[in-house]
Amino acid sequence: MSSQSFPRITPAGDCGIMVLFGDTMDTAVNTATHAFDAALRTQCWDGVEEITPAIRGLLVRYDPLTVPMASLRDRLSELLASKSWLESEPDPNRRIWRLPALYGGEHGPDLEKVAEMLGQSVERTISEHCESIQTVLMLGFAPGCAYLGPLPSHWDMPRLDYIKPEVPPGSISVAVKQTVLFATAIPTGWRTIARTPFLSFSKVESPYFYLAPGDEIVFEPIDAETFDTLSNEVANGKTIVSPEAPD
Amino acid sequence: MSGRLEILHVGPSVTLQDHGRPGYARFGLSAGGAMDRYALIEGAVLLGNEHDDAALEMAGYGGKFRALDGPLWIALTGAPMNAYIDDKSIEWRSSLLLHPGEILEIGTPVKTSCTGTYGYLHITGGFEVKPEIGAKGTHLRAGIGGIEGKSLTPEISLSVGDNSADSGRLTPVAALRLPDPDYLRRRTIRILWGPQADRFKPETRQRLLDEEFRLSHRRDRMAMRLELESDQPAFESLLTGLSDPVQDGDIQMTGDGVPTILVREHQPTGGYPRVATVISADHAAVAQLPTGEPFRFEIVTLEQAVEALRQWRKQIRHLARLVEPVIRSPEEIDNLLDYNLIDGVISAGDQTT
Repeated sequence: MSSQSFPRITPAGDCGIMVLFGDTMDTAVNTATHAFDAALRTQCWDGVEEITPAIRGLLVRYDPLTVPMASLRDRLSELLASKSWLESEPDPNRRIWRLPALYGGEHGPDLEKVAEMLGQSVERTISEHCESIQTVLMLGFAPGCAYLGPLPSHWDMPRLDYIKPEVPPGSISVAVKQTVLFATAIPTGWRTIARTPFLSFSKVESPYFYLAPGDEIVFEPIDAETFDTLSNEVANGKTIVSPEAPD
Repeated sequence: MSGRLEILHVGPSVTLQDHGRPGYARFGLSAGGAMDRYALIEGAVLLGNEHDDAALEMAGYGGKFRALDGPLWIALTGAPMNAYIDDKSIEWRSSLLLHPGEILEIGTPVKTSCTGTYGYLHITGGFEVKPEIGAKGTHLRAGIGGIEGKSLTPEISLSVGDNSADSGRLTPVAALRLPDPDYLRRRTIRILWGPQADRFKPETRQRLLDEEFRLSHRRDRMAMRLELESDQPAFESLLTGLSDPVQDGDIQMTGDGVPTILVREHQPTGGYPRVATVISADHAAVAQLPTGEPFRFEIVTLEQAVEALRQWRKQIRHLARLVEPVIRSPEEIDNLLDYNLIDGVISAGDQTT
């Protein structure tokens, strides 16, 4: 497989086509995925029903009785050939979210272990996590669940070899140079270092999902008192974070 | 006519379902919706319901129900189940009137060649719940839709949507029935090779086509695991890759080498290698396979899969033409022809799988 070149178009079932930009976790590959997704969505092609971007490529769901696979594949090839997607800049329409996060304690039970694995202090671990501008690589696994990255290269630690019972919504966990941010209560095999009162998924209010693939996240440390105050505001339906435009 | 349906007793996996919520996979939410969309449309056709009316999906067992506040027109579709009103056996795939005080009991699927796993209970006007994220159907994994995002519990009553004369809806005038569909007899599930098929050895792929399989008890609205007999070794398992978007019908090979078929509430992304994908025209058939019933996979070409989908949709579009009165009497026939025609245009006109 590795001998095959990228980008590559692969049929997936009778109603899907995958467009893949690589086979590794790579910033250029992920940025190309988001750029191609944005371009494809402005095309509004007949028969295209849903576009789902992930880490290294995207799935185009289509109706084969409206557009045959061969013609959709040709149009995708043409769009692929129109630009060097792997040299794409981040989307100028992306949004920056500054998310308050309470590190350690009951909300980040694995923080000390993570610091120990990184061979550095807890303080340094928190500051490195907060200083990283993390991109929403994809949303997947569960509603509003965001995979963020990349973290500095020495954060390439494995997942746990077991699954922890449910961690609460807003939990911030790390592994493999990535952060995963949960919007719902969920079991996880990642190490939980912090928690944000911000929830990226609300089933009551449109638009339901706040983070989008390609957005950028910066975590800002808060104390327990601020966490409780903000959590109450969220529970009362208040918006605690508004996204900013990139500089 | 409007009213409520009281739930006296209910099976462990009964949920309110509709056509689901397509379009949110990019935010981590799979579309969900009824495991058997054909059965959902059968109910709409029998009762003159709307496209987005919700029905009760009953996995393996229904429950005991009673009409409150007035008589209710109901219809039963999908996998035929043993069903009674006040202990008198009733016909599946037909509409009928449930009078106040009568007890409707829906048991396990019947043991015939035309059988399945998911039965559906529909009500004229549909069940009335507040839509969440654009649909009424229950997404158990996400905890949204239906009744608090969960399976039904007894001792509640469900409201029925408005279908009074000024609601613009039709009221059934007579009991109707539909013939049993062929897909409930299908024991050969058609597949296409999946996006990672070429990572598997040719003998692994051949084995998928040669052997007889059964669905295990480990099946739900998210995924269905195949049962490997004790004399069947596990399949080749490959390292998981980066998470890619996955789809309904994908057959992934889990780490322990057991093929698992993803269904409506699958995770939107996954890293297990996908060896094959069930064709869209067989999604209802594979979801309905009875647990433990032998079946086989058959490889088809993309052209055959698309043609099967064309036929499947045509069959759904023409469902209203198959409706017939349970008791034929001359004075009912004019009215019924009228009713069928309207159904054909409004309720079953533009359904997809």
